[in-house]
Amino acid sequence: MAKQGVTRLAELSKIHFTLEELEEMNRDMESIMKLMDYIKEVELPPEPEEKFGSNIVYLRPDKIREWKLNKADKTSENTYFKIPRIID
Amino acid sequence: MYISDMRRQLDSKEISVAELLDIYVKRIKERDPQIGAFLYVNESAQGVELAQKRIDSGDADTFTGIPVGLKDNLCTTDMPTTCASKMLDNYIPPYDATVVRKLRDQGAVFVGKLNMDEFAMGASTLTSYYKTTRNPFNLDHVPGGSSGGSAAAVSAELCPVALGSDTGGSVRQPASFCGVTGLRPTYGMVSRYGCVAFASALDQVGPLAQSAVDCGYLLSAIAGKDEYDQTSINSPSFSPIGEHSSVKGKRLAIISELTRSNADPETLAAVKRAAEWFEGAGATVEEISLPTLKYAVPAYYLISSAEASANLSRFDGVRYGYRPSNPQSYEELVTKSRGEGFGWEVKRRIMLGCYALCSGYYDDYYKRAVRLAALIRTEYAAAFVKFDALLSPVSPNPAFPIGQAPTDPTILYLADICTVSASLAGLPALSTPCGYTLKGLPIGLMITGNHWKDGDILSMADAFEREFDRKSPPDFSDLTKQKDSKIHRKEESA
Repeated sequence: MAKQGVTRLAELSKIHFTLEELEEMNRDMESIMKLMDYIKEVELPPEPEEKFGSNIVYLRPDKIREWKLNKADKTSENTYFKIPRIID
Repeated sequence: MYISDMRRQLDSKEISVAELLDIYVKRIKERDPQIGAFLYVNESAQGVELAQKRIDSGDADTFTGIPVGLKDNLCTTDMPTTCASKMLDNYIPPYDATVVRKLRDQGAVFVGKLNMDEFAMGASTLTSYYKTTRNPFNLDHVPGGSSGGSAAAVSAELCPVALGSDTGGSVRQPASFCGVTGLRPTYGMVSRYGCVAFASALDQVGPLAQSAVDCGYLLSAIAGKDEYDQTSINSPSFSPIGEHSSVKGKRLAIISELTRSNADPETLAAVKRAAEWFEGAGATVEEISLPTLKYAVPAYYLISSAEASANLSRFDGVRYGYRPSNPQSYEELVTKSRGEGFGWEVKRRIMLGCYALCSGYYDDYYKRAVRLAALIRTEYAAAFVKFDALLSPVSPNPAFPIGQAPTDPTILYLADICTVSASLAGLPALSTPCGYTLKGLPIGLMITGNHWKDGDILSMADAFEREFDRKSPPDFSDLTKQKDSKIHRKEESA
């Protein structure tokens, strides 16, 4: 797995890693993916024929949504963020 | 002491609920500093007086006044529920898990919360954020996991029974390592409401006890449909174990893929001896091949990690859980909460799950794993046409030394080979002690049954346990004193 791949996965997983941690995770993921690739060997029976509507793709694109709340003001306690009022 | 003995003594007033609880709390104080099974000891447990009143008025249920230990991923309103994670440090849930509520309704007394692998991810209890739990049979060895605290506590008689949870073997494997009986019930038999979710398609709450009979009592108390868990139903066929369990006429088979592998020779010999005992007791024992099982480990890790990546997305530092100090933006608040709040193994699983669900990889990994699980279910279904139950080791090896945990994560993952397939198929499976290594470590026999045949496999285990020379952990109270005095001297010299 390329290092950029692990960085991208960390973004999608919303987990902060230091550079050293990313390198370690990269090593671990390479080892883990070798084991996971084992399932590609198995011959699976053919998938059932598509039924009406089964060609609809429900998957979202792997896109990191904008962190809209990053624009929110911090409170004086430096712990909370002021967010727009949504309930009156 | 077994549940039936305690029930008799409580009902005949030989002992009171408070006295019984006191015995276990004292034992925990004496032995647990060495074992490390408990994350929280409930010295002033709720319900003691109420349980005594019920007994006094002749209204006692099976678990009225009986001390029960709980794995720390089961929500409790009167004790913290941390999942052994920094992320949920000091978290006290606003509701009880359904299994907890059912036991409370019966009058059970909760003696405390038990250590586990963080968010139930692991097979050694070494991924706990809080402490190391040790195997009561050898304090230098792991108790297994993820329900390692539950297994160690029952084994060392710190509580008579405990609840654990089993996603890929987390009740059976620690039960095997610690020499107790542990059951993963049929998927759907027990509500998971209030069991902090790891992989919802696989998670099951299960009992650990000193005997199959006690596991049966605990299962009876927690089983049944729950409106808060739509996967739960009332079992169509479960009945508690009768007085005369017999295996006569049962058709059994040893799973060849799990007994011809590179497993530890002492483990294989113990399982073979157990199979011979079943034959001698009137069962037939053949061999069966389930060829797809060799792919079960990657299929399990892909499915469970994919589900974990979704289930654990709720821990974002906002709604509950750990929060870093002084985050500079909302993004930093979320990513640092997760980066600092989760341990390494949890982060590894989230990353793997995220990868398996990525567009471009979904078909090759997650979807393929789900189809493979279906194939495994088909193989088991064909096997149960011919056989009543399947036999195998619970783990290829007995408990390993704490300092020798493998650094390559895949070595530990592969050690789940014997347990994950029953999880993928939603089948009931239990571990019962069937031997000991030359070093004195317990070895477990796994009995896997067809869906809803939990009672049958418990009866088979009961028949075996009645004949098997079960051992208790060595008395290490002297060792406890020695180690305590060493610690004391060290502190004094410091």
